[in-house]
Amino acid sequence: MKIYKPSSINEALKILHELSGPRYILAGGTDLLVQAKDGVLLKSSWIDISGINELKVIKEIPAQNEKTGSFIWIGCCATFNDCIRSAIIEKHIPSLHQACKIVGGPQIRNMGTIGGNIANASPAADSVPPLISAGAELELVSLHGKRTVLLEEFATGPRKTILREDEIILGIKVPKDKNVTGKFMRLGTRTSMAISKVSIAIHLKNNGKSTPEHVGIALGSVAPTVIRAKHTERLFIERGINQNTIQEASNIIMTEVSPINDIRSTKEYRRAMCGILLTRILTSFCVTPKP
Amino acid sequence: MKPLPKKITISITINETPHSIIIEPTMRLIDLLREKLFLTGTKEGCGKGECGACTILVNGKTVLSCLMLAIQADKAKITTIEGLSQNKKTDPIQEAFIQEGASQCGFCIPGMIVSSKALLHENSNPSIEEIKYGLGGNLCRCTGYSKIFKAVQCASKTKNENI
Repeated sequence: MKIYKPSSINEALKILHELSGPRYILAGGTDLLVQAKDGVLLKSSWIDISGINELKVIKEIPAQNEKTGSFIWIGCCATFNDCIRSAIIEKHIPSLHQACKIVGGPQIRNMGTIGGNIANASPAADSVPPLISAGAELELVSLHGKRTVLLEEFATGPRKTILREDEIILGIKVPKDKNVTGKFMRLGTRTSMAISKVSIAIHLKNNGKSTPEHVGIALGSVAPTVIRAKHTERLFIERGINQNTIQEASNIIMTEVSPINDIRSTKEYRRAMCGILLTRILTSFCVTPKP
Repeated sequence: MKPLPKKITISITINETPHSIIIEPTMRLIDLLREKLFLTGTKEGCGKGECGACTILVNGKTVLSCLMLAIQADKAKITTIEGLSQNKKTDPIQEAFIQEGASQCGFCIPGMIVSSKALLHENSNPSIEEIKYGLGGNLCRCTGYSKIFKAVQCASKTKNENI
């Protein structure tokens, strides 16, 4: 196994460009070193980007012009704890703040990175449903240039993504909106150090009307990738969030997922819990229909 | 850029002592501590980041030394469990664990104490829920946790009295 330790993004990209064979990016190491212990990654090259401070930045990107709007930028090496401590994320992507708080334990939250959580592409990755529900995009970069992709289109299956072998995820861009609320909920065997059996994130934008302006609902651990519940979202956009629509939606959402049996849970339980978690999470967002 | 050579030198401060050590780049931090430096207080419970027995402080933050490469700690300041009882003076947290009988087999204890140290540094008067959350990355198979939590509460009272 060969290890490279670039001191800049450009150096990292040059290495990726010149390398042949399997390569893995080392950031937090909380997925990679586990896989290495299982003997999975021995004949490969590792590029250690954990020392490149520029990749850890969380900041606001102000609007370039009237059309583009402003964004929140999360560098690929920002850790779960960096996100928890970010006031910008707590305010503008509250579901991500909540999700980061339940990942692993304190040590994993100090080490693990959002970029790694996304690149590893486990359908159970907890940072992904919040980011997808908030309309996140990824900036992918290589020596050839940059490209922007929707996070919901990044993973194509468990541990499979559209990342090219000479690219890294530079960071995540999330549209910065006013009047947003969000929540994250998950079920796990334990409170800490548990991989989610089912997870759900909601990102809601209200504008004082009886129907929300934007509803993003994303689910983890119930499909080959994290998915958006688009039919469920449309129901709420058209008819608002109230006890009746929540009841209907809790049935619809169960048809949008394709869970499996695995070591953590069964497909029947997971499917049922999608409806239950949706009801729980939305009950607090209800706008009671006027009599 | 070339890959790291088969032997490289890293500079690392451990329990306030600077070291310059020649290692293979694939060496895990836990192996640097235990095998190279014989600091065997840090334990390997699972080697997969699931138990917390290998918890140490790197630049003041708790990390799992079984999931870090030693090269990632180049130029860092490390504190291991041995660092809490320098010069034969035990840390109030260690005293509290002894007083409360919080240890049975002892294997999880170094990790528990290092995590407790970081917790109390950030929150000097944690509630029981905050203690549970702060120690959420450390598993114990013997004690059922209650005396460990009690020990952390006692340590926080002692520390606050001494300020």
